[in-house]
Amino acid sequence: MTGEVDLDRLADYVGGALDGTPDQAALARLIATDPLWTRAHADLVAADAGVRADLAVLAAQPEPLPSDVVARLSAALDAEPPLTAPAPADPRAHLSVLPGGRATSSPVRRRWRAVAGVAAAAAVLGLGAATLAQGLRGGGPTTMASNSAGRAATPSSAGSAASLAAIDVRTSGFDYTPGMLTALGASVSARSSGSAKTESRANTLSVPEAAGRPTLVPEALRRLTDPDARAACLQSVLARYGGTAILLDYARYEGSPALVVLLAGAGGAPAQKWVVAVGPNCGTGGAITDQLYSGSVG
Amino acid sequence: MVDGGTERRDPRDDAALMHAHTAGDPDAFAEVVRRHRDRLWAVALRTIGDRDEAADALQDALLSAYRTADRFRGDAAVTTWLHRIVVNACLDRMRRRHARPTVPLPEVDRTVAPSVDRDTALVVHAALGQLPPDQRAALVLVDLQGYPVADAARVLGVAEGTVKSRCARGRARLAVLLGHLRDPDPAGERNPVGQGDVPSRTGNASGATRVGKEGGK
Repeated sequence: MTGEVDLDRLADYVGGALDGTPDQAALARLIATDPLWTRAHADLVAADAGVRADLAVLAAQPEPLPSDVVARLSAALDAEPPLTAPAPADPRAHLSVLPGGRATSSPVRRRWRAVAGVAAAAAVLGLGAATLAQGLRGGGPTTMASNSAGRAATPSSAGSAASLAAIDVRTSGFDYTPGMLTALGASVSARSSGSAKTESRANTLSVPEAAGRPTLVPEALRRLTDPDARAACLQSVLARYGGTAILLDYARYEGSPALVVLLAGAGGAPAQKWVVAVGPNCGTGGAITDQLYSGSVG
Repeated sequence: MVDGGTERRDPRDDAALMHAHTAGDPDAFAEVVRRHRDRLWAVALRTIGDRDEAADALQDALLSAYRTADRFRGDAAVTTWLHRIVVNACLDRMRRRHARPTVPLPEVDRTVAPSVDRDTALVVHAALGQLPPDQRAALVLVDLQGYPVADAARVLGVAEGTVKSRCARGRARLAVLLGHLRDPDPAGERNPVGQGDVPSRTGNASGATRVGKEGGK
């Protein structure tokens, strides 16, 4: 093939689009033997380098998203409803954690079973479930699992059984990481299935032991041991994510004092578990305000 | 929501945020957007060539991503998925307006080296607007945004060889537009912009040369 040079083919050749194809060899032969193609190839190679240099100049120009476009995108996305409605399907699910809330026996029993699952799974993991929830009717704590991790340092205000009924309250002393929070939730999920297999699987989760960890409520979280403050915090968490709080841990998250809240039935989906870590100011002004972590589980 | 630059950094990775978004977390998607918005904006602006159109395309794309997040299966990076949606939104808009260049090529004396890179950037930006949309999109991803060919192929949904071909032919066309290569078709007989994926610049009406099909394996 001689004569006119097909620059598209030549560009493909120069750009490596023909590598490994029969056309690559054919073009190489033409370039080697046909002076017209030889010159065109040399010209294009030189021009290609010039274009790449020009493109590099443009590429080096920063193109941050302009503030007016940021505002416009924010408004557009804010107007979108969440994919899953955050309101719980069963409004009674809120009752056990709201100030003065009362629950009927049926949902309470369901929560109780869930709490038992939480505690058992935590024991398997060595998480140090210090105390199971307060008795449903103000009785003393039912120790489901107690190990070296720390003993029932239930917050002083936890005597308000009405606000903590059926919630597993802990002071594990953990300094949680995202992975630990996921493992915590996973253990709950695994245990909930009730099979020996899942229990065994839970044992393999790599939640580190926390030898020597403190068991008291971090000083910065004292505010959240007050029943009203705690209720306001939980209410703000539930308002955002829905469901029922089944576990509270006065601990830390990545070094910061944090109240870890495990939710069941988040977003109105019965099987959806969600874990939230909030800081000491949670609930002030009726909002979470101090969220450190939020993620689905399972 | 998207502009929460002072908020504490969310520790979740992109995939976890997308999962949280589909589960109803009202903040998760905004965090994903916050992380990638500048790159997505640059892709949109450089692909479509017009600021207002780029803003429209980006908004369309992000709303689409927000609403269809449940289709994200996690078999590709979230960034790849988002780039694909943004690029497609841009290409749709460009095709709807018949890919007419919106930015005229400035009159710049190429015999004088530009003293300011910004001048070169403006010229190159305008020249990109003369390319067929598919070539432009490939060049933006690979040569401007620096994505590997394989990633660009995933974004564009074509073979890697096709990306290489589009980039190579786009650069050859830019070489003419930017004065690095003599125009082999001064009579303007090459395929008009936007018609066909790859315009021939040989302009040989006799059929002795042909308009090459896209390369690629």
